[in-house]
Amino acid sequence: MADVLQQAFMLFATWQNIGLLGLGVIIGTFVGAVPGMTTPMAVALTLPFTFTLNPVSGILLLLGVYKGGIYGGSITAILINAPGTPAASCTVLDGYPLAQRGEARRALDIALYASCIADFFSNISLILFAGMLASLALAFGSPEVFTLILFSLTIIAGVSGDQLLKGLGSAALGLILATIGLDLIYGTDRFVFGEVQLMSGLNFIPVLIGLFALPEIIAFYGRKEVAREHNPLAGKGASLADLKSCLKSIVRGSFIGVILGAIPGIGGAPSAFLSYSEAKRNSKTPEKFGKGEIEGVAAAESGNNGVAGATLIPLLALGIPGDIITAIILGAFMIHGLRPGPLLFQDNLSLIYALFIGIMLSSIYLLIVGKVSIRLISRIADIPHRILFPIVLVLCVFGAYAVNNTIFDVGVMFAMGFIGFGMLTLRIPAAPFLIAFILGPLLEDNFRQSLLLAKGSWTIFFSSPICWLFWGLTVIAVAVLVRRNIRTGMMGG
Amino acid sequence: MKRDLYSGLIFITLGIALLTILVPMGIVEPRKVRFAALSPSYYPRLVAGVLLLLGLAVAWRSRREGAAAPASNRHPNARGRIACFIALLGTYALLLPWLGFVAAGSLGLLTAFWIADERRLGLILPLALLVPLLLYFFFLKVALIPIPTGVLTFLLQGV
Repeated sequence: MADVLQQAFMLFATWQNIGLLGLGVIIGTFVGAVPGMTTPMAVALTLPFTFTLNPVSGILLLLGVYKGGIYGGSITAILINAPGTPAASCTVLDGYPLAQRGEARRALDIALYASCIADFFSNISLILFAGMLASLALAFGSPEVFTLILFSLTIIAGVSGDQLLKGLGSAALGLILATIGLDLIYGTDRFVFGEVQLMSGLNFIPVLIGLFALPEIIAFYGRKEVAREHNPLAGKGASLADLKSCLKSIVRGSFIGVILGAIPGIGGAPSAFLSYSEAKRNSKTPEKFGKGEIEGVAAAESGNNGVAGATLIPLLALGIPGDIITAIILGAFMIHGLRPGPLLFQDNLSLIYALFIGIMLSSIYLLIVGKVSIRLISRIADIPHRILFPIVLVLCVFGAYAVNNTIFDVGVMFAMGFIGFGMLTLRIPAAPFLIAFILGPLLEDNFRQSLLLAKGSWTIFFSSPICWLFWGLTVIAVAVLVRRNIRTGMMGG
Repeated sequence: MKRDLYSGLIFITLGIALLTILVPMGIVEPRKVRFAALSPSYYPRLVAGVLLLLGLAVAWRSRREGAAAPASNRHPNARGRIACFIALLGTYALLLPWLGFVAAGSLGLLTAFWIADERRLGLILPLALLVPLLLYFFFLKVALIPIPTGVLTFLLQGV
């Protein structure tokens, strides 16, 4: 074992590896912060540069981009209400209100700390529990994922505030919008109406940008630009007290991220929403969530980043890529003649350990790159809105186009902007729409796949202890919500 | 403005439209479906039904709703500015394929600054020219994404 570790260290400890990993984190953070530039896109663009590198250097470069990209998505979510990645959309809920109060740096700081801690937890889990978590992940079939997503959807009640019915209606609209495209089982059209561009469904990024950034810009034109009220926390970073107050949520979010990240096909967004929901449920001041609660940012980011290391568990342990990014990384392994899975642990253990050392170092890089970038980037929030918002508009147009290289997506973004502005005017919460839009396809696909497996029998949804666990949690969450609503109703007379 | 009433009515209208027009016309049903729940229209119908019920509940609850007070920080010319900006967005979207991203971006940016009452030409002119150009080169050279150049193709091609 000591020999293997020594070999792994020798494999890793080159200036090229250390430098490329850092470069990857910088590229990822920068790209993640640009709306429209997704992390998979950044990893895919970096892939050709790894062809001439040795396997460790090439894969570490890609892992650096991946880790940086996941964190980078939160930067624009906090500063301009435009999440760089779908997983960062949960960070918008409290991050942007904090930035509006002049506490952008505090929000960015806590997002960074939560990201680094969660990333560290995730990496440790990858190293220590890869085998165990991989077997747990394999126990998740379609019915288990369906009940998990159903439980995650209970967060809709949490983010609807005092507009529960409208929030549920908003979620229903999100679920409907998510059905646009080709049917998964039969391959027939759904709401395509002859438009070829709609066949693959609506892309997340134009919908996210349109729903969050554009309505805010339109609404700005209806407001007087007034000087911000004096806020003692304005311009200041997060304090140790902030970190301490969020630590419980960060640790909880990290665990949620690790478990959900290990399940192929789940991704960061459900993890972020579930972590946020749990933080709100356990908070003494749940009413502050959605209005600029620092713990909300920490919970969302820890859930989001907790998946980063864990998504590599099914990839390395079983050879199963859980998402697009790990599929690209799988490609990088294969280009170098390596096949992830149990045999890789048997034949190339030193290479695996060298990657583990690099992955651990990536958390430290993330902290350094994040701290440096926050100092510069947080000043964006201080730019007067009459200058900032028009620039954000143009950035959004370029970003929406860049996702699929199609002007159609720019149209989708504008259309969603108008819908979002209408929702803002009528006080229909947009967050449930977004959550349902992101989780909707997972919910429906797993619902129908389960029924297909069970030949139409609904008993499949109660066929395993994991299903029962999530049904139980869903019932408890709904019961708590109903009780709270009844109490609020009684208190309100 | 009775926000709950309008919200409820929108949900109801959408729910009915989905159930009666959009789902029957917009979803192609396969010839043979093994179970009703596997049909491509089953889930959208279910959600549309829920939307309709929620709309009814929201509209019913709006009986007790009073008119919303105008926001304290509302701009004196709020409606005019919002209408102008929405018109700008529509024009921007329409002209984008023809003008290209750089020219449309510059014009859009300049107009958006103007509507926002930012009239310092020494600031907004350079910004309107440079921001779309920098974004163009970033996406083209760094992200390797070809951005349509429209009327400026003769100028930007080959740069």
